[in-house]
Amino acid sequence: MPIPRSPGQAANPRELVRERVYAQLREAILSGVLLPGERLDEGALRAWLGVSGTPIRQALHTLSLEGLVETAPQSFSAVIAPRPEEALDTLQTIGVLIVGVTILTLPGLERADRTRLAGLAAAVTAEHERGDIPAITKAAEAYFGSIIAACPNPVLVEVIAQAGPSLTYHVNVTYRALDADLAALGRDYTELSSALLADDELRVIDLTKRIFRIGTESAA
Amino acid sequence: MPVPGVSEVRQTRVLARDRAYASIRTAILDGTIRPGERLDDGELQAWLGMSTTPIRQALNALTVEGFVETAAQSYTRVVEPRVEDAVLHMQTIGVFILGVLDLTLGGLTESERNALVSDVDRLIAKLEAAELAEAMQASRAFYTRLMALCPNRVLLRLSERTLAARAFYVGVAYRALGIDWAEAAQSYAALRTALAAADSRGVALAAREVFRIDTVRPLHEGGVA
Repeated sequence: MPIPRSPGQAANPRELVRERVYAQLREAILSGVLLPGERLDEGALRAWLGVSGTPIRQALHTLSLEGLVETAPQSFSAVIAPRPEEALDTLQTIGVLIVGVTILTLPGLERADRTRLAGLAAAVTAEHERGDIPAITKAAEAYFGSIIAACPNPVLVEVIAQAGPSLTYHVNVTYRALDADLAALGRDYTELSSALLADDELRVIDLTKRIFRIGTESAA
Repeated sequence: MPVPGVSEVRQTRVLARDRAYASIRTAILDGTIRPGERLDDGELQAWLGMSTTPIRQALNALTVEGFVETAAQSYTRVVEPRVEDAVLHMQTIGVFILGVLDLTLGGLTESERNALVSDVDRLIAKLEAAELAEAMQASRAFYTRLMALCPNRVLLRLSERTLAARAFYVGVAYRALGIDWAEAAQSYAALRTALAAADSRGVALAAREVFRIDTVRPLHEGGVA
């Protein structure tokens, strides 16, 4: 899922250091430089980032609140280790947020916006036909990112900014456990593209639910 | 509209920052620290009897959660809910509830469904009687039961982390705004009918009304239910 950044509140130098350390650690986790489950040793992080323990501990705490790091009292921290058995629950949870964004955003879109979104959805189908997972992910993120960017509810967008990275990380790491049917997904995105062009709100929502495997019975 | 705020339970050995977090959070929720009130480092240290580091970490956690904000001059205060923004928080809670309903209704047994319907009946009765505290309690009972029935643990964990601060925001704004009891009762009556008929589409539409997720009305003319 696309990741709108949380607005930073850095004002003084100490907060700037904390922000930078947080951003570096977050990027290292999301890009795979740090591996799922990898232990985060404070000494090693101090040497790598060239800062004292305090901003590192603060950054790890923030990352634990966002679900990217696990910390246990009196123990070490580690990058979260996504569990394959939660892959479907996590995919559905992303879907719940995206469905909510879609419901809130669609009615306010101009025809030109819907046409652009339809084009982005069609591009996802094209990538499914090529079968390259990273390219599919990227195309899907472009589509969902566009809807989120148009969402009129900033509170929901902020919730997604906080929870999105961890949820997306889980799904990306445990993707195989989902046993996705790429051909069927490609067809879903084609239909989604048509429903957007036709301004068929109910259909767009049902297809979005189907893509995220939420209650398939309603999207007949 | 009263909304679910499920509190987190921590079982591991408690760190100072976790104690600070729990104490400040409770004080905000029970009104000991008021909306908009400035959180002074020195006062918090004296009150909690601990150093500034765990307090800052607790405030950081409460900021991420949405109970606390940093003002322009970089002091920290409890969020001060604005009536005109309450609908945004209400809708956000609604997005989670719509998801829970989607993932839960299909798998309910007859008796589980009946129990939910009875909960909504009690809530409607309290709304019709315009009894705020009891309506809040009835609402909490309904949403607690609903969430306990939801099979998706990931969504539930995220709801626990996310919804308490939104519910706090909406609750404070309500007291400022007053409630349209008849309208609230009507929305829940529609939900009750659809729920009893196992009509998921109808439940979703009624829930959208309860949480002001309208497709017609522009956001800012909404007010709260």
